[in-house]
Amino acid sequence: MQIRNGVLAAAALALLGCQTQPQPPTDYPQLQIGPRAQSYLQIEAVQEGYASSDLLRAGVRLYNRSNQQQTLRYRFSWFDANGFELKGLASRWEQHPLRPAEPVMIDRVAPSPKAVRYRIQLFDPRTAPTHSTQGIDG
Amino acid sequence: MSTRNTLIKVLAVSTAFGLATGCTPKTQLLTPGAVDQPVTMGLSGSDFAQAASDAVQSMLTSGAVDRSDGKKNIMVVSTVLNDTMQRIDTDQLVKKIRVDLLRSGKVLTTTAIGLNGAEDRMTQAYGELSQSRKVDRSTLVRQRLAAPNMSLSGKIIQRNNRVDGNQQLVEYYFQLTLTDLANGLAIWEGETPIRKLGSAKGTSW
Repeated sequence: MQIRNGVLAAAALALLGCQTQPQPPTDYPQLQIGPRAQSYLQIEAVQEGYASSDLLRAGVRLYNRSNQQQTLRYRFSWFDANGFELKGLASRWEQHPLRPAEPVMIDRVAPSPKAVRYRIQLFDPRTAPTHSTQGIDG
Repeated sequence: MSTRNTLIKVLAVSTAFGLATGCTPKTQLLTPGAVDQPVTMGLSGSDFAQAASDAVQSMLTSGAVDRSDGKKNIMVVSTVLNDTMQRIDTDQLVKKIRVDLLRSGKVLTTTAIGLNGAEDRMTQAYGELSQSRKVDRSTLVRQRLAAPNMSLSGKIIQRNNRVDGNQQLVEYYFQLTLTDLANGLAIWEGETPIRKLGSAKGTSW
């Protein structure tokens, strides 16, 4: 009985370990990184400020720590004080080539002064869309 | 004999119909921003969105549309030339920019003034309502049109180059300028290049 429970617990842990859902890195709760992108992305900093006096501006500084060129697929989402998402061109899915070890800064200005919160999604284009909200555009 | 011939004809027609319908590509609804978006050598909606997004982001970060008096800028759309080999409506670009600038709360666009007359001719028609006996004049509001203080103009350029025997490079340049109408100076300028490499057999118009 104890052996069976042990095996079940081990299997559950193994399954949890294999999950491919995107996870926010604990240091940067605004980031949502896909499982494949997580294997080669190194986040250096997440920066935020204001542009044009009252528009929230957010950015992420990162680099590709793998030895091969990668393509990053990213999207900034903006939310108002009530948690509703604000649409605009600054919420589009975009792509950026990442050469090995080359530092890259990606930043966007919020579409409206109502934006008080943001989320940055970083994915690899090869990640299956079912694991994320990829494909839903702003 | 004739029954056999008829049977063969029916069979041939139904086979041809079956093949034709079977080979027809299925019509799909594309999800905006999906990974597997088709890429064309010509200009597509995503190219316009990219150029418009770059322009608006650049305008907002440059401070060109900031005002210290709390008022909003009034923009008029001047000429955006299509110098490509394609028949495109430049409003595909301009409308996206207008929508995003309006959302930003920094810029309003006038639809009452334009190089080719008012974009919305109802503004002028409304002014003539006071002459009509059919209209209850107590419901009319006095018109005071806001004059623009900045103008958006630009050009979309296309360049085709043969890379080697099989490939061609098609380059598009979205060039935009924001002019301060008080002094005629360009307070913001931007250029978004979009480059596409594809088969030389394909056409980009």
